Amino acid sequence: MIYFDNNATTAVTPAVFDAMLPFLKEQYGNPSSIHQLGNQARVAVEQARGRVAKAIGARSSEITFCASGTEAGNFAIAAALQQAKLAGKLNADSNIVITAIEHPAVKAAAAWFGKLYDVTVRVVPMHFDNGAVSPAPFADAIDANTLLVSVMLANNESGLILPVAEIAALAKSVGALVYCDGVQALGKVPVDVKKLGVDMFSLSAHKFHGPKGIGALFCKRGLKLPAMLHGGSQESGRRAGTENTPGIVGMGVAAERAAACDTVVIAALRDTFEQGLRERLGDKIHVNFADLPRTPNISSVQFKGADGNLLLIMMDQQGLCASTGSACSSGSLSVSPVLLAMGLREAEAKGTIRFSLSRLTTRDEVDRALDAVVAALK
Amino acid sequence: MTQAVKTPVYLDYHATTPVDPRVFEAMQRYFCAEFGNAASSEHRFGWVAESAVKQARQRIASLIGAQRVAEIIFTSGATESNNLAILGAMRANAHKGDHLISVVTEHKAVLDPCHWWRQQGGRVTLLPVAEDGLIDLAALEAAIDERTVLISVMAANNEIGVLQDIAAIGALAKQRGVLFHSDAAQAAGKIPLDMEAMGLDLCSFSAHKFYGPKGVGALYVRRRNPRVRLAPLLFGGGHEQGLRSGTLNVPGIVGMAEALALAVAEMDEEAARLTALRERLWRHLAAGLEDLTLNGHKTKRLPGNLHVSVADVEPEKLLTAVKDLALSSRSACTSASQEPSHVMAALGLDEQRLQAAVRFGLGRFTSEAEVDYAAARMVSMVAQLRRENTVAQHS
Ligand SMILES: Cc1ncc(COP(=O)(O)O)c(C=O)c1O
Ligand SMILES: Cc1ncc(COP(=O)(O)O)c(C=O)c1O
Repeated sequence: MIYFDNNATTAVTPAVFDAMLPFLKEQYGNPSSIHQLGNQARVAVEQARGRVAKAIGARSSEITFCASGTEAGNFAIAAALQQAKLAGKLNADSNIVITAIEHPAVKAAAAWFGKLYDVTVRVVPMHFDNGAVSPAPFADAIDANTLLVSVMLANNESGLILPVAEIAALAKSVGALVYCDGVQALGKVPVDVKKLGVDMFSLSAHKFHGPKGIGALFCKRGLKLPAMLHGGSQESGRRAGTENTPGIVGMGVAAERAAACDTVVIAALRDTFEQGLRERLGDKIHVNFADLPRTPNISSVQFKGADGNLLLIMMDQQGLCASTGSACSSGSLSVSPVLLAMGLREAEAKGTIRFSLSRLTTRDEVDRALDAVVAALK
Repeated sequence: MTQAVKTPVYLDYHATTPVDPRVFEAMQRYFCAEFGNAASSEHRFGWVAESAVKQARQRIASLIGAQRVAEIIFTSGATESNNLAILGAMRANAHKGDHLISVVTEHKAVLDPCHWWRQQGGRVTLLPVAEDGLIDLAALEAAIDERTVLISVMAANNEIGVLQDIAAIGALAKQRGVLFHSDAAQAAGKIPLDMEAMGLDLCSFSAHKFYGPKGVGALYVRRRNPRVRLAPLLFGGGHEQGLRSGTLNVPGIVGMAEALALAVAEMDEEAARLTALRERLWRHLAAGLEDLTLNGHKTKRLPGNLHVSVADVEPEKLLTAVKDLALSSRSACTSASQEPSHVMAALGLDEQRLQAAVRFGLGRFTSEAEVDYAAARMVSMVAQLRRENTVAQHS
C-alpha cells in the first residue's frame, strides 16, 4: 500500500518509537512522583519540552503538553474568552475573528465558546490577489472589540500557507490575542512563533511522525490563561492529568526531526507526481492551488467530472491511499466547505482528491502512485 | 537479612503502573505499521485503525458490564474523564438543577472541577467521611435536594485505598432520580465493577493505573435508563459521538482494552496474592515498629494498599532516607506539597498520625522478597530516625 494521506496522520518513525520505548517499559515512573523513577520521567518530559520549544522558536516554559491538536485549539479559544470575561472586557460588540478555512476543531470551538460567552464569531472569507491571500478582508473584520484572531498557518485540505505574521500584526494593532493552528505546519514550513508574532500556537505530534494522543500549546510568556482541565498541578497548573511520558518523549524527538527536515526533497517528489499526472492525464485533471503558497507535501487534484469518493475506492483497490479532505469529516458525502471557501465550484470540489506525501515517501512510491491513479480512472 | 532484591523497589502502584509486556505486545504494531487515523474512512489504513478501536470499545464495554458499546467514550485519562463527567453533566442539565454532591476525600481531578462549578455559581456539597474513610449513606441521602443533578463518589481512594459502597450509592441515586458518577481510576481492574448492577451513570477510567499506557482513559456514559446528557469539553471533528473531538490514540486505546482484559481475567487470583502480601508487610512492620497505625478501613480497601502512620518521624525525611524504596506519602500530583494530604486531614486523626503517613502501593510485579526487604528497610530506618530524634532532643 502507498500511503498518500499524511495530512490525516503519519507513521511513527523508528527513531521516535525507539525514544519512546524505555518509557513504555522500564522507565514507567509518574513524572510527579518524587522518587528516582519519577525523577527520570520528569527529566525526560522537560527535555522533550525543550525540544518542542526549540522546534518552533519558543522557550520551554511556553510549552504546555495536552492530548491533541483539537484540545490545544479548544484550550486556546476557551482560555482567551475566559480571560476576557475575568478581565471585564466583554461587551455587546465583542467578537472573535477566524478564517473560513479553519479546521473543525477551531470552527466548532469558536462557535461553542462564542455562544457560551455571547461573543460574535466573524468568519473571514479567502480572497486572493497576485497569488497570495489578501489581508484586506481581515483588516475589515478586525476592530477594537476583537478579542481573538484565529488564523491557521497551513491549511489541512489545500496546503495553503497563510500570511500569519501580517494578520497577527493587524490583530496586535487593536490589542487582540492571536491563536495560530500550527498542526499542519511543523515539518512542512519553517516555524518561528516569535517571527509570526502569535500568542498561542498549537501542535499535534501525529501529524509529524510522532504518536497519537499527544499535542502541545505554545502560550507566549506573560500570558495568564485559566486552566482548561482541572485537577492537578501538572503542566504548571495549566493542564491537569498524569503526563503521557512516552507520548511527550516521542513528540520531542519527532518535533526536532520535523524542524530539521529538508522539505525541498518532498516538494520535488510532489512536483514529480503532479508532472506525471499532467503528462498522463492531460486536461482530465487540474492541480488546485498550484499558484498559491502551499506546503511542499500536498497535491490537491481535481479529476474533472469524477466523483472523488468513488475514485478513492478505486484507488484503494489499486493500492493507493488518499482522501477527499479532512479525516475528521471524511465519510460524510457533502462537499468540503474548505474547498468551496478556497474558491472551487461545487462540481470541482466533488471531484477533488487530496494526496499528501511525507518525508518517508520515496520516488518509487510516486511512480507506483501514478500507475495506480491511471488504473483507477479506467 | 532478606534475600537480595533489585532496587529501587517500586511500591508506588497507585501513582502509576508499568505497562504489562503483554499489553505492550498488543499495542506495538499500531505505532509504526498500522498507524492509520481511525477517522480515515476512505482507505485500508483507516479501516484497520477503526476496527482496532471498535474491538477495544467492545471489550471494555463487556468487561465493565456496560449494556451498549456506544457507552464507552475514549479520553486522555481519568482527569479528563472526571472533568467531562462532572462539568459536562452539570452544564447539560442546568435546566434541572445546579447542585452537585461529592466527598472531601476525592482525588483533585474530582474536587477541582467541583470547585470550578462552585466558582461558576453552582452549588456543591462535599460529604465528610468517618475515621475509616467511608461516607455515611444517610448523610448522602440527606444532602440530596430538588435541584441535585449529580452525585460523584470514587470507588477506591488513591491514598488510603478505601472502597465506598458503590452499589448502595447507585441504588440510592436511582431511587432519587439523581445521576451517579464514580471515579474508578484506582478501582478498575482491581475490584469487580459492573455499570449496570451498580447503577452507575458515569464512570472514569485511566489505563496507566492498571498496567496500560499513560495518556489514555475512558468515560462510561449511560445511554438508556436514563440517557445521560453531557456538554462536551472539546469540540471539533465530532469524534466519540460528538462528546470528545480529537484524533483517537489508537495504540493507547488498544493497550487499554488489553490491560483491562488481563486485569479482569486475573483479578481474583491477583487480589488474593496482593492481600496476602499486604498482610505480610503489615505483620513485619507491626512486629518491628512501635506506634504504628493503619489508616483507612481494615478490610474495605484495595488489595494492594497499605497506608500507615509512623509516629515520631517526618515522612519526607523517611522517604528520602529509604531511597531504595519508591514510595510516597500521598497522591503523586500533589507530592510536591508539604501540608498533610486533604485525605488524611479528612479522617479527623490527631496531628501525629497526620504528619507521619506512608502509602505502600503493591502491584502485579511485587514479590514476597520485595515486601520483606521493604519492611526490613522501613523498620531499621524508622528506628534510626527515632534515635536521631531522641539524640537531638537531648542535646
Ligand atoms: C489544521 C488542523 N488542526 C487541528 C487538527 C486536530 O488535531 P488532532 O488530530 O490532534 O486532534 C488537525 C487534524 O486533525 C488539523 O489538520
Ligand atoms: C482516584 C484518581 N482519580 C483520578 C486520577 C487522575 O487520573 P489520570 O492520571 O489518568 O489523569 C488519579 C491518578 O492520578 C486517581 O488516583
